[in-house]
Amino acid sequence: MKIFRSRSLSVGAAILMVFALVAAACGGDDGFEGVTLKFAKAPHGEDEADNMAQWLASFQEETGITVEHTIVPWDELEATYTANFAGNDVYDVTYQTSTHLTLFGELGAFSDVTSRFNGDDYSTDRSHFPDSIVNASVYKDNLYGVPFIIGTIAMYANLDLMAEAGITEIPATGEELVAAAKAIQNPPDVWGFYTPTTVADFGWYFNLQNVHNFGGDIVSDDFESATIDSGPVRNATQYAVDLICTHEVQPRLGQYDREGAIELFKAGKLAFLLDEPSRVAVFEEEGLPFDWDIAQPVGNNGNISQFSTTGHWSIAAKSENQDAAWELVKFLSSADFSQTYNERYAFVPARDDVDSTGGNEKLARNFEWAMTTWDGLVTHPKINGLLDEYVKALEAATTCDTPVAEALAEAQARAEDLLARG
Amino acid sequence: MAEVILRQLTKRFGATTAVDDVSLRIPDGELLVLLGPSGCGKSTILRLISGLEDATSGEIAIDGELVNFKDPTERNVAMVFQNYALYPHMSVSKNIAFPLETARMPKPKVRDAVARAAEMLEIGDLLGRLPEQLSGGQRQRVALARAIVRQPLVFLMDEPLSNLDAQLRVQTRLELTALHERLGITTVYVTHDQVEAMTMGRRIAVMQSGRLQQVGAPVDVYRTPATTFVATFMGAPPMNLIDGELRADDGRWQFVREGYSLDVDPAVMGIEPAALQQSAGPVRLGVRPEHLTLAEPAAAGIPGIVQFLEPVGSDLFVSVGVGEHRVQVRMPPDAKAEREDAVRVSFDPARSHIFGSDDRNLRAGLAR
Amino acid sequence: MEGSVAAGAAEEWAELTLSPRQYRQRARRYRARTSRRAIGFLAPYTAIWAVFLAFPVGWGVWLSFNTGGILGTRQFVGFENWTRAWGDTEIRTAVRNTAVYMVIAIAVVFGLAIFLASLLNKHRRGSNFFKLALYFPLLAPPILGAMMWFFMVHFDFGVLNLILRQFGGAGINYLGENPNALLTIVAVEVWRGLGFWVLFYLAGIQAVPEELLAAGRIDGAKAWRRFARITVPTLRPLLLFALVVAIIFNAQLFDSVQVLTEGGPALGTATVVWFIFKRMFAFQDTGLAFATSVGLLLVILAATLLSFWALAKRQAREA
Repeated sequence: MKIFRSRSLSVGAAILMVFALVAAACGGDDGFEGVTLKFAKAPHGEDEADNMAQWLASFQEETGITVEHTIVPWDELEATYTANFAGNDVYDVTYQTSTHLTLFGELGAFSDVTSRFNGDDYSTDRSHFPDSIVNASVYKDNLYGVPFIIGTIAMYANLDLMAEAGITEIPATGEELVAAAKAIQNPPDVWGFYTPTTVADFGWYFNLQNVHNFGGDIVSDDFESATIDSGPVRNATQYAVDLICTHEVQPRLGQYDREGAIELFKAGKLAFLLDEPSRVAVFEEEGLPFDWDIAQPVGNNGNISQFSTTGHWSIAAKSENQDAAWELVKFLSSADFSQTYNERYAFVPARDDVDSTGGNEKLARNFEWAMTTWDGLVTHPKINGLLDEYVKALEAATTCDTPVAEALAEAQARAEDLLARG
Repeated sequence: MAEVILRQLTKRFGATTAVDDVSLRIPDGELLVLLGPSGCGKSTILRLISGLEDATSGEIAIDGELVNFKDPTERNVAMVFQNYALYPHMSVSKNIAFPLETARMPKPKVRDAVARAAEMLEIGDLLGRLPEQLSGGQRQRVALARAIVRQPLVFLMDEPLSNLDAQLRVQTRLELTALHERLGITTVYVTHDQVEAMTMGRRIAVMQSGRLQQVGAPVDVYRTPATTFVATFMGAPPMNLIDGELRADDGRWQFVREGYSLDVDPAVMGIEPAALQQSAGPVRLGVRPEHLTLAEPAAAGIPGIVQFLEPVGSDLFVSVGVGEHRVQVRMPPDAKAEREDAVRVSFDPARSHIFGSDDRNLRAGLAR
Repeated sequence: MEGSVAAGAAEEWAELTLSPRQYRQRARRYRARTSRRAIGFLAPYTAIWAVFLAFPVGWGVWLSFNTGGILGTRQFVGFENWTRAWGDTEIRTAVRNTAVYMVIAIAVVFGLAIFLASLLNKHRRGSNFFKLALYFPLLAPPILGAMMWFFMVHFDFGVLNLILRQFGGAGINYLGENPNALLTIVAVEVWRGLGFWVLFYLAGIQAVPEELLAAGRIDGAKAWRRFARITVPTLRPLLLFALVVAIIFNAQLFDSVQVLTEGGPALGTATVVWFIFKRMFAFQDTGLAFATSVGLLLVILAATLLSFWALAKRQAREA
């Protein structure tokens, strides 16, 4: 769920956006008056700090808890959290995606929330979390955070460019996509397609649905063996490579990064773009000068699926205010908050009692794809490392200099080493 | 004011012995000049007295008190450095006041002391300037003022005149002597310039390779050098040294070299007969140029050939080849001599010296 | 002859007043007093050094023989991390990249810096402006500098490619191809370091005695020959020291890699510190990260000692 990743935020190493809002005097009687919680999250938009301040105001007023919100930039997240959790003045509550949930959780950074989550006083809320979503977040019977949102990927299509080329339907399969992109594009002025494939742009996030479509994964279900160098992964990776190196419908690696490709799309110079649905609201607000729509990322091998990670609210094991932190987690996991948040950032809520599409027809369809074809990331302490090995291979192969088999074989060997270690 | 005594002082830097077993007594109020070529250890002795270096062995006493184990700040000595070591960022008056302010003297007293020192060295009109705005001579005076202002027990001066030009050096030399006479502070003055040493010191101590060669009044040291080193280091041109052999012939001692022999009369040359006995064998005859004269080839003396003539106005220096040697003879400016002349070099035995194979003067009265 | 004595005269006043034992005792006490004072002055720094340097480095060395220790429980594993680090193909790539980077970057930055320094030394007018301009990149935060370069070398709207396209060029893919990416990193770091080295060498060149250059001139050497045969050789002792400093700096290349390429493409800009960072935080492989860090420290230390040894040897030869 590396949804938003602004370069300008990487400057923010020094800019800690701390909001210390003084709790209202009329706080509740639940004994949290005067408690201060440190709350940290990687952002889903540039406006998140302001929005959070607003959204957390009612919680602080009601409970008397002061919440200090810190924005942790995505590319500094691992280092920041490692240092923070190793110290004693920890962030009480943090937002964690499935990549890092059990990585940090199994190292003892988070409290297991299983009993609270399944507790009697939470049973009403609990019933609204589908088991399929919750189970993907459980590792060895431990749940290190309450699921909040699942991300999805959408394919943005420039309908005007399609019409000019005489294409009426948004492509739904890999072959259709290549054909349509070729028909439309006229590089370097107009490009056919873009999907991130680099380490820096979390390329794995936009390519794993294809691995699933080809009928495999990068690791066996029991996490016993790496399957990076397997048929499905080879096919999916080869497909990504062909788009750039053979069909040449996607710009060469390094010519446009993810943000650059979004600008390209907004300028009407890109026919199809893979990105997160969070852009829908942004594009609509800005008003793009052409007709556009979103579709599910194309299927392959006769399959179509939605991939994503899941975001969770975690409580630090070293937090001295476990109960107050749980109050905050309950608030952040509530239907109301989920509604508010996702109306802004367009994720699919992990609860089934929230409709966050706000009547937006595009987002409603996105919601539907997630409900019907979701094949998300299962959390595991080593999944982050496995993804890193895979995306390095993907990046190497999409430079067009390294053969797919060679890149994957290298990654496979390293992934095996990773899994073999205790 | 104090007496300074060095007792068997030795300083080694690794394998190098900079000061080698030096014993020296400087009576209260005396100006003693330490003279020697560079690297002879004379500056190291100053640094040992001041406490900037610690002695390897031996003792240093100032005013009857052992100071080996005292910090430089506790020894109450003042030092004037060759390059003056003025603080470049301080005005002249600040420079002079610095030692007093460091000693926390009250402000008004500092002002008075600075004014007195400045007056004594005639730099009253320079007090507001920075060192960079001063000439070399002025800097020298400021450095001296800074040294005297705190009325130390001992003055240590490390070649204080060597950065001045020749004329200024002569003038400052005289002023320094006058200043010393006026203040009467025990002073150790280091120089490599024998003229400075001769003119300034009541006594001079000549050093070579860390060892003390001779201590005495300048005239005595000049006239009766204890070693060949002192003989050649003092005097310009230096004392002539002629190789030869000391032989006894029928109870008569003779200095013999090829084609020439000289009777050595112990009484005339001031040598104990026993000393002659001990030094039989290769020796060197030492005579200053002014105690040599040129004579006709038929006269008595060492035969030689005139090689060069150097008229210097007041004198005529004549270089005479004697065997493989060349001796310098000082003649009146109007003396008649031509190059290639065959001559005899004769001299006054009473003013000649014989140096043994250990390079020491055989003359009696020099402790051996 | 009266009052004239030779050395070594055993006078009464020259007798030592302390026995050798007393002398040793008092010398020892004096030295102790002096060193106590020195220790007093050194203590605060020593404490800071211990807390912020010695202890962390020692702890890092210890952690290189363990797993965990930062997050998670620590467990002693002997040399396992070290053997893993030794056999790691990615470290080899990172070491190779770092070495290639260092050779190119240091050669380019030194060459440019010495050349610019001699120009600045010759043309004093306006040199303060150029010194400031050259030094400026060093004042900017590293991340900011790297971001600025990101907009310089961007394929689509980067300044460099805009200029190239003005002249009908195709535009260069600075960050997406090898070896372009590493060369771009070199450019960024040269840009950043140049000012420092120019000032460094300017100070060195200004210390070259004027008479030597004057003598060279009279001996008929043209400007370039004087530069190459007089100025540069005179800088040589400085050069070795500079090399040590440059190796220490550049062996730790990280910021611009993290901002511009994240090690890519295809590990083309993966450096040793980037690898350590990845292992430490993305993989939480603490032991491997520390083993590699300590290894890097040892290599830098060895390079430094080697350089100082070479310097000392040269000085001994010249003496």
